[in-house]
Amino acid sequence: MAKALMLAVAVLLGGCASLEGPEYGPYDPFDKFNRGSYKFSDAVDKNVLIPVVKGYQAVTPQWLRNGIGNVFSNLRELDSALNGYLQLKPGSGTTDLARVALNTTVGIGGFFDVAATGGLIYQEEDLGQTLAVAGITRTRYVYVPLAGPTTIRDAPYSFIRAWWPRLLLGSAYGWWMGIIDLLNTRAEVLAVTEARDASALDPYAFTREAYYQRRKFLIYDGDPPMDDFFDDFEDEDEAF
Amino acid sequence: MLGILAAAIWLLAAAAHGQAEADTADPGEDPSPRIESFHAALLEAMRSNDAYDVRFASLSPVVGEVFDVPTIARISLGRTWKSLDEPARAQFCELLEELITATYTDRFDSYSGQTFHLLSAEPARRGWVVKTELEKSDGERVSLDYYFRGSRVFNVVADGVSDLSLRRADYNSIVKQEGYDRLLAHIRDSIAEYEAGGTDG
Repeated sequence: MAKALMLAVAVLLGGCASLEGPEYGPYDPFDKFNRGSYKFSDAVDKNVLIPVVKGYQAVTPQWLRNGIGNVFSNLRELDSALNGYLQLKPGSGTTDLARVALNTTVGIGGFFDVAATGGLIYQEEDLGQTLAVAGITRTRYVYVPLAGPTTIRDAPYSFIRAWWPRLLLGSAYGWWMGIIDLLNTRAEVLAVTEARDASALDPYAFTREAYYQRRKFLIYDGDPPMDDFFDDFEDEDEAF
Repeated sequence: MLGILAAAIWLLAAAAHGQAEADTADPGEDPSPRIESFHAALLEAMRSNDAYDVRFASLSPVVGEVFDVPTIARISLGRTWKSLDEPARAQFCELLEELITATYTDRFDSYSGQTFHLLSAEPARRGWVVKTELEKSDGERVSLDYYFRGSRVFNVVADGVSDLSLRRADYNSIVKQEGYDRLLAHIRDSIAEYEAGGTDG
């Protein structure tokens, strides 16, 4: 176990080391593998998962899907609270803890997000953000087959996110809960991926860019510094 | 020696002062009314239930007025922009403006209780940032921040994701893999797909 942990830490540090370039920028040295993985995952998604998700949407009203999403989100918020404290943001961690307490009790197992109504907003912290705050601001992109986009830095968090409800509930977590979690999560982002497919000319590059930007947004708690797009054009600026 | 050092410090100080002046230059008038007009045009298009081509025609002048298409074009293309001559640049700008209009026409195609909220307008390095929110009928809110350069918008950031960054990554990837002419073909295909989808729908 200790050896496996050391190996994981070594892979993580090795995967994030020796990168030169802008912070939070896309780094994609595995482009060939990632594109293949994206193509395969996209084919499975479009031909298998999306038809099932559309069937799921047809038999579940929006309020029910929102409630189911809230239940799984509520389970994951303990992880968010822990990472809030690890990032030395006690207010953030305590907000998430208060949300879990309120939503689990008054919100009936997290089905209703009563805490948000009362002004307590989900803080969305995770281990990937904690590692970024600790200094790992450059990391390589990986498109995991069937699991989607992540980076070397964020991979442990992606794994924890997927398995957290199972770890928390133990044997009470039935296989069917995993399927509902998957369908509900995919249904939540269906409109987003449909918009991407309609507007992206290279959906792989589009997804990678969107992933890095979203992570930067979360790392900066919703207020990231904006890229200066004009760096390459200072000489031409007067012409415009 | 001391003279040279003093001159160098004076030059650095002057350069820093110039930079500070450029960064804090007068950003001009608060452009919030432009965004409110743009949102009003989007709502009107959504509520009209008009056909795609009618909505496209009504949004086209508004998009041309609000968005700084030449700036969006040159940043999206990066190095490729520098290699284009004036007629090619003008052709790309025209195509891009058509694509932006087609995208808004497609996305804002029906009204179901959406509302826009103007949150703030703040002077920024190159103009203004106007922060707004789109509230959907189910209460979900999407933040929409409009970045101005002068009096027109060059970047829209939705929930932290920059439209300009996505466009730049997307276009550069296509140019790198398939070439500039194929990029133009892809953009024309996208416009045609929006039009076909809007007409079918």
